[in-house]
Amino acid sequence: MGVAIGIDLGTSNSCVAVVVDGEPRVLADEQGNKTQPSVVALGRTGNVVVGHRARRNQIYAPQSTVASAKRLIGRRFDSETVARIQRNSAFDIVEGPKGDARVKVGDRVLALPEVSAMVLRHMKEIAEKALGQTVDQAVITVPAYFNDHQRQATKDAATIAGLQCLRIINEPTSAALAYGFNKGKRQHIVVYDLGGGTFDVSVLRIDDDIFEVVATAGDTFLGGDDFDYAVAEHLLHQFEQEHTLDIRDNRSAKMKLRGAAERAKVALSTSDIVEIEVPDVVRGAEGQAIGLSTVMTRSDYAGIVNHLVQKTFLTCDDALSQARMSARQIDHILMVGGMSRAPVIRDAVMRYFDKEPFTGINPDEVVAIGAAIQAHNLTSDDPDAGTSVLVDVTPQSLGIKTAGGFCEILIPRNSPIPTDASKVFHTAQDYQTEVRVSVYQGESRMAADNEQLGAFVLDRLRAARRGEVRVRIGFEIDTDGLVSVIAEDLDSGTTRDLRIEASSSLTEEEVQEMRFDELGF
Amino acid sequence: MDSRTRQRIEIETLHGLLGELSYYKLLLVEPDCRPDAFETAFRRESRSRHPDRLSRLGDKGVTKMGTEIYRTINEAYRVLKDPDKRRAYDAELAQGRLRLSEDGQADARSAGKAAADPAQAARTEKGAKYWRLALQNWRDEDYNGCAMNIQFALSFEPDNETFQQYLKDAKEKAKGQMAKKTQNPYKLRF
Repeated sequence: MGVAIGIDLGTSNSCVAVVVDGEPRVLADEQGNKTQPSVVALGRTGNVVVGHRARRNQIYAPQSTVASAKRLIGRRFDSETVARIQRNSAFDIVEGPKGDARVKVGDRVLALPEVSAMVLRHMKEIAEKALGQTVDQAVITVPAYFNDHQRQATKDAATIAGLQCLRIINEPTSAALAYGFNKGKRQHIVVYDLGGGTFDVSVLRIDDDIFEVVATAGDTFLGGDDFDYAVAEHLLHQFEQEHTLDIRDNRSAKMKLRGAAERAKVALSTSDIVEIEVPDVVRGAEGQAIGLSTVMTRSDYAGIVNHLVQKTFLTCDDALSQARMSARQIDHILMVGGMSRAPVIRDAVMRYFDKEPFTGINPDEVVAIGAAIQAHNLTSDDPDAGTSVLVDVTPQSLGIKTAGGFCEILIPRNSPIPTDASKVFHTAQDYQTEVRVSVYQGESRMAADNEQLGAFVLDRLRAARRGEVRVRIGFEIDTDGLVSVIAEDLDSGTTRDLRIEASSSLTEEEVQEMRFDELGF
Repeated sequence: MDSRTRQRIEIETLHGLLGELSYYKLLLVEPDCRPDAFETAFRRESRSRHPDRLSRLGDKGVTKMGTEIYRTINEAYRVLKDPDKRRAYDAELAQGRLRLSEDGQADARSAGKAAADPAQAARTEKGAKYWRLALQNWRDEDYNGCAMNIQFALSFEPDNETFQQYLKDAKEKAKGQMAKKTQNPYKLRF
């Protein structure tokens, strides 16, 4: 049997770690990089490149390079989110056969789990090279509020990459595990995770060896990328005004400004002022280079991104109110994600919680380390190894659509998992032989405003007077946060297992077909 | 016996007992305990009963049993920590039902619906005749007469659940009336 690793499959960067001799270790590639860009590029000859090499490709061939695929995973093509991502992406997003979003790279169309699988396989290979051993099991982290579609798609990605997914765990929980808050008195911890693409805040209660997620809130559209966009937008505006040019549709110019914005952001973490030089933003009519040259101070930067920083605190307010706590009742704050290094963020977090946040473990690696610890806990033969028990909760309420389009909640959010609930349905009309059930995830009272996980039809019911035929639908949420549905005809006592087949998810067969190992990669 | 075997036997035993344990017994708390006891109990049980505790056994069957046990512990906690649900559960428990199921709640709702329009409950002509009389007795608070007429109606429709339910209720009410009659003179002595 191979080794079990922990993978932080990030929006911008991914990281892999393992526990060796009881000590967690982050695994680096041959060049010594401990994190890899979650970028996948398709070369001219059809070869796939992942990570740093793919990242370099982004500048020269943005159309054949997929970045931040995690934002798209498990989403429908016609969603607002996807439209928003398309506006800021150089690669094309197309509609899959079942309405799912897919990406077009070169002349290939890839399902998102396939793209993520390429990143996971890359991480697996790095781990195998570093350890000199086969790796076949992994704990993979996801943002706490990922819904069933997104979790399922992530699990599918692991299968495609040839990894057995031991567990899907929430990133903030993983960070808390890494910090080893499993000794001593009861405490409340906030994990403030501002990564490349997502913002997550979770309130955890840790009592000895129990990790309990009390509340979690997040914003899929808030991360380092948005800070880059905000700065790039600022630079673009400045450039256009200076030269009275319109470069909104110029993808390569935008990429260059994005790059400059990101470098400026990083530089401003350590210095108070930065010079921004982009010698060749566009070519003029005579082919001459038109560049941008400007200066940005830390306070300029703070002004440009202030609305984003404040947005994180709205999410913090939400999480705290769900937990029925005030900022002052929090014992510790853990900073996670590359963006949490920015002094602008640290200062603001300190003011909000009135406490110095923890930054002891590298914020880029902390989630992967926690995942490695969990992988070790789940696979170790040592009876003393599994000393921590992770009691996680459902990120979103699970409900069904009722007459009038309302959503009736069956399992409220923040319920500890694994859990289940059931509901008895009666036929509403005489001689009705079918019952249709639509399952939703979300917090809105109206079903239409929530994410539809799937719908299924119970047919071949006994034809009888209304109300006489009863069907019990059982909902289960497993330790990965994945939902499954069981229907039982109380009339005949027959049980049927139905995995929620959302229209946009891959089927079991499709996942198997996509597996790299079977295609002989 | 090594710790793995012990763990396995423990899970198998507990799983076998699952259908016989009330939520209180499952969380190892007293039925009259204070509301804050449930949280402590849930956390204590999570520590020992979370299915991850079983992963090192590598036995899918045991893990499945352990997951079922833990899901029931979760259910117990979800019901008992909510005062309304706890009340509903205590009522069901008094009837001998150990789980507050959606079935039970749905049954309660559908019983409510039938009561809203009981006039339609009869299925035979003769049954309907006595049923109408019984309902009139009920409105007049003549529960003994009501019970008698329902028994006549039941002789034509022995399987009618609404009739059976009303008969039970009417007998209860009649008993209550009797108790009042016998109690009141006693009370007057004070």
